[in-house]
Amino acid sequence: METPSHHYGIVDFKEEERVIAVVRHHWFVLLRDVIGVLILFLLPFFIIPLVWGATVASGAVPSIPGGVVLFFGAMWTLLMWNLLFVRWTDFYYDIWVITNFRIVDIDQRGLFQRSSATLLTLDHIQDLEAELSGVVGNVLNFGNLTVQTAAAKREFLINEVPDPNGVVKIIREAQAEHARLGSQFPHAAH
Amino acid sequence: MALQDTPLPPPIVPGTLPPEIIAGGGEAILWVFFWFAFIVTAGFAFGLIYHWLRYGFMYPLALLALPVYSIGALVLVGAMLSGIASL
Repeated sequence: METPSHHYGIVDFKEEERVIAVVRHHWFVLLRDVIGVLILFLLPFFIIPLVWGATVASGAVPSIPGGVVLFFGAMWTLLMWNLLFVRWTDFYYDIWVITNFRIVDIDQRGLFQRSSATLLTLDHIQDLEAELSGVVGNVLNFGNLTVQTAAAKREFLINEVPDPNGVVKIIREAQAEHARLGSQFPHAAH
Repeated sequence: MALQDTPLPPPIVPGTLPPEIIAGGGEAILWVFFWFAFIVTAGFAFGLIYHWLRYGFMYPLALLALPVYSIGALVLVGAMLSGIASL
């Protein structure tokens, strides 16, 4: 979690508002994606020699020149290289910003879809629930955060974040600060 | 002409490229693949670099990723060209 000096381009950022923490998905989410890309990358390097080797041995086709192998190897690696950085950018740009007023979800979907929306204001939070699920989640201490709001009876999910109990604590502290601000600047409470 | 005088055509193996294309004349096919990969990469590179530069002040690691990605992409395009050149 970070506490930056800027406000991530959040629109209608208030004068008294301050970024308390920035929450990203846990690094395991990125690792899972990277392993997926790695498997996809390695697949043709195992399958093609296996199939082609058997065909060459049967005498049906001649062996492939080294230049062609280099060309297609580099081409596949290049495509996977692009995919890897797209996944990383998606992970790195996808954040939740906790301010002393609200929780903002900045969502990066692919390369050209980026949305920034106020998930909820802190005075609407009724209940917060942190959940560590699965073996990996328990070992690496990451999980989901469910936020229950009072007004609209809606639930918000912040999924696969590191140390969800720590995030709950941060939101509770932010709520306390919000309440203090509300008493000092009544116009800024909403 | 008697049937036995007609030279037989080379056997056709279904689903494989003719040997002369693989051995020597395959460059044209490789260029098609090269331009495909190049255009795809140019699209990705534009999208990635645009985002990294635009939001780089908020996401500092993006400015580190930029040279790593660019060098890697250039090396791999170079490797593709070397592959064609070595035929």
